[in-house]
Amino acid sequence: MPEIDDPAFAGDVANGVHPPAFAAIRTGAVRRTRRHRAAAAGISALAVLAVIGGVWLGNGAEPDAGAPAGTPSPTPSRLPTTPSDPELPRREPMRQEPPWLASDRAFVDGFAMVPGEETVASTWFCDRRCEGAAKRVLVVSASGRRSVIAIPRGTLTAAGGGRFIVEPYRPGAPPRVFDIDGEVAMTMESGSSPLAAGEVVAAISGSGLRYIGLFGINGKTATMHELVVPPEILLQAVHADGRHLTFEGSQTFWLSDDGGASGTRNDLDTDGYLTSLVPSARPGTRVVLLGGDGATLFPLQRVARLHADGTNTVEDVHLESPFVLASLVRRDGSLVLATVGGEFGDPLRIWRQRPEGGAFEELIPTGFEAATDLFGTISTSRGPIMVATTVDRGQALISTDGEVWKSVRMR
Amino acid sequence: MGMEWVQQCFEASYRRLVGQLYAVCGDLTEAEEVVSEAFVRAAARPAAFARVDNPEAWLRTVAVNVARTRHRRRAIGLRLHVAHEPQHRHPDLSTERLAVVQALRGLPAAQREALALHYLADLSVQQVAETLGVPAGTVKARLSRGRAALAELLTREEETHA
Repeated sequence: MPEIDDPAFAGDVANGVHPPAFAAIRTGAVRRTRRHRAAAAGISALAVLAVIGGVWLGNGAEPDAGAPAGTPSPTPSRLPTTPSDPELPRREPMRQEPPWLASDRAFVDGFAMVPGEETVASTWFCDRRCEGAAKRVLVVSASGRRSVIAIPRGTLTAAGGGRFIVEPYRPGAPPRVFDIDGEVAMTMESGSSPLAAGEVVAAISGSGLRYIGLFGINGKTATMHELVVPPEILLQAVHADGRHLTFEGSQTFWLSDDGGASGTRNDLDTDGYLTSLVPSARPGTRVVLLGGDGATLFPLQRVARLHADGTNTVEDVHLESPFVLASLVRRDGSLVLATVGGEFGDPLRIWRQRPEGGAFEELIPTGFEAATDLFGTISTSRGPIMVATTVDRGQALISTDGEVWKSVRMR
Repeated sequence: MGMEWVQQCFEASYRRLVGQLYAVCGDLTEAEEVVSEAFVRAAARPAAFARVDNPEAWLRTVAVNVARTRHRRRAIGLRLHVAHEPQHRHPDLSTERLAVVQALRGLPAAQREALALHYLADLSVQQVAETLGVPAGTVKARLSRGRAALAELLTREEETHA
């Protein structure tokens, strides 16, 4: 068995490290100083976000359950623009694609699509060894056209109507919406309301607080509004399968099947494990995976099913290859997991557990031969989709059930 | 003068810190980026950095904190969208050493950090405690539990492939 006590380890690794030029450190320091000065200046967009944040910080506001769901205010307002950031170019398609995008230094870390819609989007990054200012881009493709747009680091979601949302990781940065022609100007509707049909959830990250804003976004109409949220919990995660929302707090969940207009609380003892909400194609079926903190991997320990009556069913899991890369709940309520073992070269394996729980059976997927890695699961307005990468960086495999896989272009 | 001192520390400590943070992160690119970020923060306030008693310890603590923040954001991204993790990059290591790195990823962060900094980065218990901002007794407890958990993970992997 390998020995943990290896005092020469770090030194041996260090011997092979090639430091960057110190000028890059100096440049980073200058940018950091500029960002801090801009934040301290009290820019109006942040002031507006603070107002939004007030709704979240227990100021006594109750969910507006009495109002008809999705009714917009008669006086819509424009979304506040972000302060200009000297690091980031305007969100127009780039005239020339960065050279690294066509090289093996390009890595995909986001993919979004809506089944039945032609337009797909993916986000790609290059590590700091690459030349040029734009090291992270959004690629939007449709009908033989392709646009490449420099974007900040964030998560990517399909909004429908050929539009895609980028939620920046930077605290306070609002979600940005793009289509193949560039950034889309969104109209913000006043007031908060439940998530309407066809809308997707997008968030503004906080610093200290996980969220300082949650919105429902309609890609087809280019409109967005604040979401009503449960007042009792300090929000850590939100998941939406259509209008079936799951809000996660500390060892508690709030379940809503009407976009947040109403809901029920479900307390779950997570026993110190990390949690992962499973995207679900079966309305109202909610599964939570509980696992260890595996740094970049998620070793599964337990499966919990949350019921609408406030109860839950928890069972321990022992899979041969326990690190979960993707998961979804099928329309029939069965849980599908894509996992890998802890060794390099371990094969990807697909498992299914029946709706009532119990043993996992291994599935033999078809059309999966070219898969090199499980990208993850993306939630779409037509249900969750597992995504696998292939050797062809522009090609992916998708499946709605873990068994049947088909090829799609990522860019 | 302040920036010259930062550069001197950079030339003296960058590689060593990357080696130590690789043990913690299990990914060489991640280690390079968090160590670079630590130096960026030092260079953003060179006068304050010049007053630090132990610059390398300060940089290591900052780098570990940056790594924790980035990991938390990735974990949250997983919960929200089950986002894909970037491909990991490793130095040229033996199979046994890579197995240890892989197995460390299966541990809770607290145990992983303590084990990596003490056994792979060759820091004393006191140095690990200062880096992580916890008492030495807490470090010892994490090392003890972490060793047991790591041994179980490594044994399980060996049995799986036997």
